[in-house]
Amino acid sequence: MTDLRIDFPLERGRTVSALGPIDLDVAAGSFVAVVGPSGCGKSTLLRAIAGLAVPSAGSVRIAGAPPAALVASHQLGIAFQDHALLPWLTVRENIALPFHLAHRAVDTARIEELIALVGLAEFAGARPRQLSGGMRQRVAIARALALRPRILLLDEPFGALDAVTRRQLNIELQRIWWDQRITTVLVTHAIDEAVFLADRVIVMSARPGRIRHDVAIDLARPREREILSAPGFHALSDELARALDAA
Amino acid sequence: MKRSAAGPIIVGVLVTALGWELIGRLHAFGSAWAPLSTVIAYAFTPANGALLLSAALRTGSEALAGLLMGSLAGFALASCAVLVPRLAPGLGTFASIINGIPIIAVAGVCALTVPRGGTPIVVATLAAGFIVFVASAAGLASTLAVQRDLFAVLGASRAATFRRLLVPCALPAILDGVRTAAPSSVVGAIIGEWFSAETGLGPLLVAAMQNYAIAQLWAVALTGALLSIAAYTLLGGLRAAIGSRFG
Repeated sequence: MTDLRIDFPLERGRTVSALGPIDLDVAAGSFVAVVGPSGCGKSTLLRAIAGLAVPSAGSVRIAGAPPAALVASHQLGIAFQDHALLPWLTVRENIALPFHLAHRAVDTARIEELIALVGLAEFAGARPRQLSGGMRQRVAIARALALRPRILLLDEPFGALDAVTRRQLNIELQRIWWDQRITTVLVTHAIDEAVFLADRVIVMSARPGRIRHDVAIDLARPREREILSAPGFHALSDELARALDAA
Repeated sequence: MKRSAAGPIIVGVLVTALGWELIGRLHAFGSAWAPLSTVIAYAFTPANGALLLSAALRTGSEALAGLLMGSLAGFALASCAVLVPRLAPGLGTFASIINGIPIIAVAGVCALTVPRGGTPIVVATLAAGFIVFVASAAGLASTLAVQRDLFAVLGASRAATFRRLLVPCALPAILDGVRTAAPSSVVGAIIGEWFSAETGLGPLLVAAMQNYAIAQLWAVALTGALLSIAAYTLLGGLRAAIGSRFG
């Protein structure tokens, strides 16, 4: 994204600057996490990449194309803090939804592969209300991956979960990402989560959100639970915490 | 029906029946108030019972036709308002104006303009249509922002969003509307019959009033009420069955 700015309209023609200017390149196949204080525009940034927020200035390009082009060709995957599963569909049907919306034949092998990948084989026929919060988020991530998107956007997908479930899902997401290698942008409040999952962490300033720090995470992959107690992990977490305090 | 819900209903029915009987016996509201026992005795005479049943079937079939057509029209109108937002204010105003015309005036006009036999169905349609329109419009607007964002990012067409998100989300509200409209369609059919039909509960009611046949008048009124309650209860069962999946 180049010189990206987003303003929100207020009353009487006034506007408030929510984001930018932001210049950011995300390498194909990498995992980038965005952290920052509440209200700094992290989610707005993600919405701009998804084509849900229109830039007031500057532009977003994904492999040279605007987000709308990727949306039209069904190459974006997204998961929100609210799982947004359709309550009348089963796990299997929810994961198959992107195929229907793209008017493509449902790839049942892909659906079963994803169900197995997120560890929900026994719950494939269950409806969302029969699942725990963590299970619902796993379904949401599987749904986001269904069409093998060019880019995966995660907007605090584990923000509403308890600490234990969140840590478990971080480990699972790391495994899933390592398996799929899809370019991923994660917005999160949790520094540990960002360090554990990402190749690179972007620290944003308070509103209007700008990039304050860009920290490379050089921890080896695949990452297992043990890395959470490694000195290198803590050093990176401390560095990011200090950067966040200064933001 | 759960025992806890059935108890108060049974008590309510018994209290109403007892009050009805006492008021009739004591002539508390004059001689035109027939005791319930007299009404039941009238209705259970074979000839009268057959007459009431035949009239109820006629009115019931007209009300059902009106309910179906009114529901379809109300849903179609609400769908147009959602699919073409520019039309929404105009369609809402149009529906309100139609609903604002006294149903008895509508029936009079229909008696002069609608082919013979069609007036009860048309009036029942109009009586049901506005209720289903309002319920459908509310239901179609009840999707969550995150669900709409998901469909947008997944590249869903407007038609796919309507079919796979808006309509399933709206289904419980639509069924609530149809259920609420059912008694109105019975009333509409009866009023329509007053103006144009020779059979059905409407003409029986008019004949009873003109002949001061008090027991018949109350028996017809009770039959109409039972018809409405039966429709409301049956649709309530359907709503509960479908709402458990879609609600």
